[in-house]
Amino acid sequence: MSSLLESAFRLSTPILLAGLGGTLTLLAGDLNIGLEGLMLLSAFVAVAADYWFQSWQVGLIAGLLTAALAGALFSGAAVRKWGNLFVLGILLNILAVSATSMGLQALFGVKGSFSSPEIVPLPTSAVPEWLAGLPIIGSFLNQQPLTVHLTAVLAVGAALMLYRTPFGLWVRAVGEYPLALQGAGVSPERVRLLAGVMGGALCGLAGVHLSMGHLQMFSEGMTAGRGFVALAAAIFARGRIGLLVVLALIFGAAESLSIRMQQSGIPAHFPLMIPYLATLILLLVTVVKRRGMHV
Amino acid sequence: MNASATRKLAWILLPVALAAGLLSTGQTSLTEAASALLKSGFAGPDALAATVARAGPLILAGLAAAVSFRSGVMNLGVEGQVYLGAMAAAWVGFSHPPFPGWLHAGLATLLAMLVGATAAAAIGWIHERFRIDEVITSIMFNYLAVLFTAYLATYPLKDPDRWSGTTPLVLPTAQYRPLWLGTDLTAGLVLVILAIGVVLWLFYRTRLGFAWGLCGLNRSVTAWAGLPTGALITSSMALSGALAGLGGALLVLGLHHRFWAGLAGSVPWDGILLALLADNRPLLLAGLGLGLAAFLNGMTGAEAVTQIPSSMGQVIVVLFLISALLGRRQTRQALGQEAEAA
Repeated sequence: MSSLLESAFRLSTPILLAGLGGTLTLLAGDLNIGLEGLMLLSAFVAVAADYWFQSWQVGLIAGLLTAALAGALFSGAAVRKWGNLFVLGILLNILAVSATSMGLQALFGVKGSFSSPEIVPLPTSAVPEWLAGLPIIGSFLNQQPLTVHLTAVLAVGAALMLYRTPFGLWVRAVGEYPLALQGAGVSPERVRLLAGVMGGALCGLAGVHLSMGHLQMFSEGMTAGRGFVALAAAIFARGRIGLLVVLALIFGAAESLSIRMQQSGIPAHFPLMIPYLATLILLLVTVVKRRGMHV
Repeated sequence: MNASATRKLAWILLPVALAAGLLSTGQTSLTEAASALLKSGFAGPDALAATVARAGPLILAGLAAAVSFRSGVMNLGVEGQVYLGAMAAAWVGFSHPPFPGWLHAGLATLLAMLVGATAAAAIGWIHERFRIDEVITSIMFNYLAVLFTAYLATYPLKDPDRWSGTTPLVLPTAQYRPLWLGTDLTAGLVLVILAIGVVLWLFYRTRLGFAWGLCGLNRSVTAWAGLPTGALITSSMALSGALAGLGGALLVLGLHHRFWAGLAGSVPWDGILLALLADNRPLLLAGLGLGLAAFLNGMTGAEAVTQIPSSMGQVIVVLFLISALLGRRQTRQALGQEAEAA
């Protein structure tokens, strides 16, 4: 039970991180459906940088920067009205898939996946024994990669930022009515761009968690739709960070359950469907609750 | 006029330069890479036939995307529908007693289209009925369809003589007849041309196609004009799914003769790229599809000769597309400025 919870925390981390990133772009009015691509890009760059420099710090920073830059490009393109947001997001996703596949071949000479014992994993945070022994919370604290705890801090931070700081107000305002922001003397373009950068960095951290924390490897398409699951969660939560956390935990639990079911001999394909089915059901439930959910 | 032509040229040359830069990162010289690329993409009847054969599924997936995009829904579930279609075609192809003549292949094709159409129409209907964004539902559906068909190929419909997750070979009666022996050019090519013709006819010669286009431009106006937007969306999704299913059938009955997990590769998403690049215009899409197939075949050939990874082809294609989108925007802006100045 405890290990089930532990893996649920670990698996909900990337979804929550990307969900927070998606929330920022959603509120700023430039919903980025390329969350998946951002995660994949940073997962690859992080592993490559980590492997080359033999340092998890370098890997972490490289992953974050890559996704932040890609997020900036996306939001910049949205601000300059270079194309339909969906089209830009699709392009980002396809580019990420092909660029990482090419990178694997070009840099490591392998197809499909790259793993090496020389990849330095993210450190696990050291927790006093009495804390780790606590029920439920203990499994969250125990032997988790750095990113898991960082995510909890970031979720609280994002909620505070969005609802307790001027910048948060700007982000929420710019998606609703950019002219008001302009009237208040704040550049809407700059706020949108910043939201894109921060959202990108959050997705980047999600990618780093996947390839350096959860596993120490990169494989093609390793994000496996988590970016879209996170997108659905972000749309459902619409800026309510508490709800987003709950949804991410549910998806994490669903995924951890699916792994457990595979181990018990059920054909892997059906348990693997659980997160996607859960997303679809969640979306349907939204509509029963509220009409007019159109993004 | 001159300024915008220069700009256009610049936007074409930019990705070419980028592509050349990428290609020259390999150990071999750029000219060597380019000649290997051209040779296996175009040179000689065999290379051309391989290009045309490879273009078929790409064009069908592209048409599938274009039909939905034109009416303003984003069917990003093309991938799932291709897999469902391919599995349906394979199942009819290997498990049923041989039918006389064309019937077996025809039946397999029809079922593939039906399965694809049903799945896509369901996404369209959910979109209309519940106002759920189709982008997410169709992508979730992709994962479900890919997993489900992989399950079928691994367990109930597995070829007992092979250890991997593939279905048995389809019977010869279910395979598309070769048009030109020794190549992959089959009767499937006729189906592709037929599909292009049908989509052209629907888009530009029928009320339905006009209404789809109207719906894509502005759904509220279409509704105000008294047209049933729900039925329009569902019908365009159904045709989109049918085309994707046909693409799956072509992959199995025309090219590979069996189903396996991962069979479609990047075909569905490349098709979506084609539709975006061609602005949903069927003929342009078909032309670009041929070009893309030649390029991808060329990259595969170049990979064998040089050290260039063939996946670089995908990256170059996306770069072209981004540049095309930006270039179109720039040109439009330039034209707008000129109009304002005049």
